[in-house]
Amino acid sequence: MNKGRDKGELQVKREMKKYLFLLPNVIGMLLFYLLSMGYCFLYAFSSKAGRFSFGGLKNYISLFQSATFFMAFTNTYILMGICIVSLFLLTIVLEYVLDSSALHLMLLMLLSVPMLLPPNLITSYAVDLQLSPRIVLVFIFIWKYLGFHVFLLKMAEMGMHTEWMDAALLDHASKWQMFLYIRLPYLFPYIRFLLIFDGVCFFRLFRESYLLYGQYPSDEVYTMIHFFFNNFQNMNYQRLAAAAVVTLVPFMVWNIFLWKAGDQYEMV
Amino acid sequence: MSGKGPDVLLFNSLYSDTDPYKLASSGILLDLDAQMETLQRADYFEEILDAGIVNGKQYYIPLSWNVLQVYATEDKVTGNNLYESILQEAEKIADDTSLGLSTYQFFRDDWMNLFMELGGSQVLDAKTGTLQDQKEAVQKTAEFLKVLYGKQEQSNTIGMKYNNDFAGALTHMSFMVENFSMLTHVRFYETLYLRNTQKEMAMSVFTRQDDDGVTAQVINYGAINANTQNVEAAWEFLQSIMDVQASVNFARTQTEQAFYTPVNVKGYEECVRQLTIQKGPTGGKLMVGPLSTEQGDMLYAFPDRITEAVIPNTTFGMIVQECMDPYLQEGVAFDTCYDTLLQRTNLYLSE
Repeated sequence: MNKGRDKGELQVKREMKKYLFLLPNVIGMLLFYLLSMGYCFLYAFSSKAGRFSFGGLKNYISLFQSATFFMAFTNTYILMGICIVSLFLLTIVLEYVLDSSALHLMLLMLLSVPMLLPPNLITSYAVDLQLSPRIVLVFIFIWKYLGFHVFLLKMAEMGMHTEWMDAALLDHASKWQMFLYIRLPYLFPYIRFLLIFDGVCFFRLFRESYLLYGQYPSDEVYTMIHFFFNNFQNMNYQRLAAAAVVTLVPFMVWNIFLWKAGDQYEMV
Repeated sequence: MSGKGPDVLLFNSLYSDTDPYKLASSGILLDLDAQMETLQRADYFEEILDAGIVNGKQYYIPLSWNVLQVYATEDKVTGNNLYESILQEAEKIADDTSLGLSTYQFFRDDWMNLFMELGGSQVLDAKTGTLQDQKEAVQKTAEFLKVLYGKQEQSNTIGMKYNNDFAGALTHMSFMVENFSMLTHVRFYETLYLRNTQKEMAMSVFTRQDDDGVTAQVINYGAINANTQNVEAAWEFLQSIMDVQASVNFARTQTEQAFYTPVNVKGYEECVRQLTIQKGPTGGKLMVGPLSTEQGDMLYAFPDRITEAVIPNTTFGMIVQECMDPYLQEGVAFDTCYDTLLQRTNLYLSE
């Protein structure tokens, strides 16, 4: 009996330890994410900055009446779509073409360097190209993240069981078939992570956009981050909060879709 | 009192990057229309007071003002049009590398916006919150400014050569453009010109393009926090600053203590009176004497020339500058730059 009770107590202690270790994360998440997000939701209903004063849906109505907001909103998701799709097509091509040899990995490491470089290095070059701002931003996005994407996938691939490929070779599978039916499904969780990560990276593209085209760029690259930045600078916090909430919706839908959609394909 | 930020906000348009238009539009400032009705408007320069209107409502109370002054010997300013005088002089000294066109004590990087304010060709009308398409007037301003930009390198070289040597600078520069306090500088340059060039000084200002009116810049201005719980006390405080007689002791004026022109009429007249009886600051062999009666009379009459006043918006000014720089300095066609300016102003206004 005593043994059973001791075992039970030990299990409770273990459980408690587990939660204790999780506690800093939970506190961090609450402080820096959930509470601030909750405050943002609340603030979107304020009629003025500084002191909260309930203004109902005033900020949302004003947002939906603003052509500039719509332009920023659509530009954001159009540009984000172009950036992510182009990056992924190139990532898949490189992932298919390159193998895991030391030379190719070295090449990928070099390709990953732009992600760590200061943005002004590429922006000064991009200005000289005199291309459409949208093309320039897509180019910068790909330049910055392509190497990292392929490098990460290659690293992940190294953990794949070699027997799968050997078995496929025995069955005379082509390189393309092995890529399509073994490598790609295996890499799916990593691809999913990268797709979520890219959404965040896209918003970071604002730095380059700001350096290149300033606070008020041409209409085609005026995105939600410009809208946020300018409203923040102008202390129009309640409008900024409402815009953030509206922008969050498609972003969250996309992330939840990615999170849920591919569970059945996971091989890991 | 407000519990969230200060009750009264004081700004200086020369030393801050505040965007007065956007700040007023954000709803963070109190609409002062009701308070303005209690004000004895005749005691103040009305055109200056009106500069505090944004989107049809009074959000700011101008506390002091200034104009962009140009000092030269009388022979350099022909007729009444300063723009033409400068262009003529630029042509005259074109081949003489020992001469510079002007020094520029602007303390603003948004030259184009500054000259658009002065010439009355602003694309952003803050008072109504609308975009003004005035291509012709903007082009005229830009063409004038392009000449200044063209002469800037040579002027800077001469300016550097005679740095801290006023006598040298005055004899090698045609114009001295100053954005520091008009009241302080009229007296200062009057003494300086007489002493170093033995010629009378002439002070001129850039007029609007469509008439002879002068646009003044508001330097210090105040506003009340929309969240304040004691509007009366905040308003009383702002009014007391408007009427304060603090800026009349010009005798000890140093560069750091440039006193700008008060918005109160009597305060202004008292300043001019003090200038005509006080001796100015001393430094080295220089002793600035009291202002002459002639220049004193000019200053007494000067407010009548003001037809408009603006609170400089240097944040928007930098947008204007970014749009027009390719025309001013890189040879891009004006139309292209102007289209960009309209697009960005539209974005600025509608966001």
